[in-house]
Amino acid sequence: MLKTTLLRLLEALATLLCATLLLFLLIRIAPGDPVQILLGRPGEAGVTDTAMQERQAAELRERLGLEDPVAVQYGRWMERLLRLDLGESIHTGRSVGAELAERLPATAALALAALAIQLALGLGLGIASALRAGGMSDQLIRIVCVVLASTPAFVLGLGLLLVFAVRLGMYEISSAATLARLWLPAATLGLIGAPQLIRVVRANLLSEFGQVYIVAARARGLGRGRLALHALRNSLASIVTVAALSLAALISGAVVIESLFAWPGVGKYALDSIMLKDYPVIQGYALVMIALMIGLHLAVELVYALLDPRIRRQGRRIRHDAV
Amino acid sequence: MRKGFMLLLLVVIFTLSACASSDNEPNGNAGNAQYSAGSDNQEAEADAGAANDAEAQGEDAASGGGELIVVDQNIAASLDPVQPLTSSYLRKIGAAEALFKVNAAGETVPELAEEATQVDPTTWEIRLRPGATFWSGAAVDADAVIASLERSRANDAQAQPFLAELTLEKVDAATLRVTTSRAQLPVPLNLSYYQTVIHNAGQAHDSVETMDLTGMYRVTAFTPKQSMELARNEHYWGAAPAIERIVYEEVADEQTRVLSALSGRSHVVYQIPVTSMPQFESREDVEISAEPAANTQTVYLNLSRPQLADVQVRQALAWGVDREELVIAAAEGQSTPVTTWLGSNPAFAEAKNAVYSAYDPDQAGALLDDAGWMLGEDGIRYKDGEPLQLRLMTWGQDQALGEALQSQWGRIGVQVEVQHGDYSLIQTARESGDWDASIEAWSTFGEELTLLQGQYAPEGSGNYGGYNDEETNALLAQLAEAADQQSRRELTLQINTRVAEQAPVISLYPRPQLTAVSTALQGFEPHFRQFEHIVHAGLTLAAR
Repeated sequence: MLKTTLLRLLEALATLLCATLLLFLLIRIAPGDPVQILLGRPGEAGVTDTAMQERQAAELRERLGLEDPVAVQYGRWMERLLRLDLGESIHTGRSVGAELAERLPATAALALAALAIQLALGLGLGIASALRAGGMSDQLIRIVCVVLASTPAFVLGLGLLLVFAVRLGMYEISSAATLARLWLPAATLGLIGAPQLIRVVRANLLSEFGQVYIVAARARGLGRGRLALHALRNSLASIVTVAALSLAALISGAVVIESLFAWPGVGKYALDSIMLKDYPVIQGYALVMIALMIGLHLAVELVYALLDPRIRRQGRRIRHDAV
Repeated sequence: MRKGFMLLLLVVIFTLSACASSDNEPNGNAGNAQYSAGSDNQEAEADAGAANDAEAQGEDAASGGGELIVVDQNIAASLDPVQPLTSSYLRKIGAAEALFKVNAAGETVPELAEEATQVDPTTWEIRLRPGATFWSGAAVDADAVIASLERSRANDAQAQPFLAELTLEKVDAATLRVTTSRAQLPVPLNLSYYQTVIHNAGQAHDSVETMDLTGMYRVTAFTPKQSMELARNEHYWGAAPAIERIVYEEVADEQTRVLSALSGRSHVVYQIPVTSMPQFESREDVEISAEPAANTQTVYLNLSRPQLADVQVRQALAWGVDREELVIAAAEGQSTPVTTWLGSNPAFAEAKNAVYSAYDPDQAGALLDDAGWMLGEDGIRYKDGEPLQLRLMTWGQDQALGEALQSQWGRIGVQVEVQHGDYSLIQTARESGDWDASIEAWSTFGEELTLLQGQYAPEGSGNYGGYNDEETNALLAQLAEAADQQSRRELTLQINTRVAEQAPVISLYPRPQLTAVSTALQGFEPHFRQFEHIVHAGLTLAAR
């Protein structure tokens, strides 16, 4: 098990290294000049002086090291990364690490609340749907799943804002990250992500219901609820996988919802930085998200081993074989 | 199981309700040789008068204050006025002031200055307003003003265009002399831009505690790119503002800003998209202010393209634009047509429709016939077997405008392909030279020579299409040498007309700037530079 874990860690490190190179290059290939954006287009100022504008841009590029060859810039970034330094934002001049750290709690709170809603809906409706497979409520749940899965996040978010903020006056549109403002973006993300979990729970339970041990249990007179619990236990591995992937997607991909609800998390931060072509921030955000993804995948594999004794035994067998 | 399902549903509903219920609190541009504070004092008195009226009416105004909530697409990322754009947000929200400001008529009037006098073509003397202080109580004297402007010059790249040609020196504690490297430079106008706001250069400006400005409101709390809270500056030099507190928040998504205005929580919401106008039509608690901005939606043409190098083709395109229809189709009727570039500047209002005074597709057709572009059976014009076509690049909210132009030019036989995307795509295309036409809206308010040189001199940074006209160049040279305001104005208008006739660009209308204003807010003043003129002492809040 230890060897497997170490091997996975090495793979993760290699993946991370490749990712740094790829994202560094992709960001620089993309059109747009952060310096021009920082200086402002001359037309916005109402004063135009080409020579001065160009001189300022050249000075700023030089100061930011953007005139150096890409390989040199990459080397400099890697050197800073080894010191756990993500660099400074071109736009604000502040540490990217500090700015990300300020915003991560808001994103984490949103992601965890959304995951809780997803799990509640996924397990509740998934089990209900499996227990009444083919029935009226199953059909209804499946239709709701299709509708939710095919609704873009921004449509659902705007719809909920319209109802709860404008029509009912139950929600405050502001830029604060408070518990009182958390429920609506969390509900939006939870509703958008729930169909996948509902389907996985339903499919796994239906598969388990056909197993001999369930038939035997049913023959012994166990109620539907107890049967579902037994079946659910054997489906946990798949459910954990989907939940973990959901959490990763919620943390890294809540950009649209954070922007829509003015939720001050890392997604909105990343979106602003992309608009400003703020290279260090985009790189820092992407790197942290990639590391998070890799970490979550590793964690899932470890949880697998805890949930499924067969995987633990397999690990031991590999070790014995090696000996 | 049914009981369990119902229980789960009840728990979810209860949780959502509990969360929700806890959250319901709710030009004389350059010409005037003397700029005195008279008009400004009148404004201040009017502001104070409005506040008193509100108080007399028993509203929640001057006596109690209330809280003004302003929502914007972006707010400051820092508190230091020399950081990019920070000063614009600080000024907009009443925290920062410059020596001068521009009123709604386009005139430069004193703000922290009391008056400015032009001593000779390159020298100005500016007398400071007596009694003006920073939040800390430190005096706004000549030393403080020079230190502030020098700090901006040294640290804010965006302030350079306004300060680069100025040399500042102290005459006495209340007077400074400004020498310009170029004759007839409108110093008060330069010192009215937000990039020149006066701040206490001796302070660090890295936190709410250390920043020190002069505005009628002082910042009390700040979260970068999220929110700013301000309280009334009790020691303000001018009329005390009626509203006690301001909350300034960033809501980046335009639809969410619209919903914020419709929800009734916000009093002022900036940058409402024109497409959302119908949502406000039936509302009595919120109004849309649609003051046209001093910029011109302009189609820039690449004159190195063979079909666009011909002035007759360019003129045909200008005649073939139905600007009234464009304003309705692409700006929901919230603007007015202009046919020359400077027409959107309130100081040159007479230039609005100086050329191409009416939509004339017949004239456009005749010009194209003369140029050898003959109408084919498919409705497209051809010359030497080549169709008359162009690719029009748009960005931001201009896609509808591009499509409307596509339709109108299609009627005169020009085949237009609209390519909508990020602004960086337009920049990249310009750098490579692979473009035909693009839409852009430059500010038309500012010092005339710099503006026109930037747009129409061969080396101008806004001269994307490579316009190089001998007569225009000669007029620009004359403008640079012009000694008095009258001749500068006449030359400016001549250049504006000449350019419109040559049509290297096609002017359409000022880009609309829509601001949603709650009817609970009284005293809101529309301004062509709304982005830096929102908060003033006369604003009052009625009970909702």
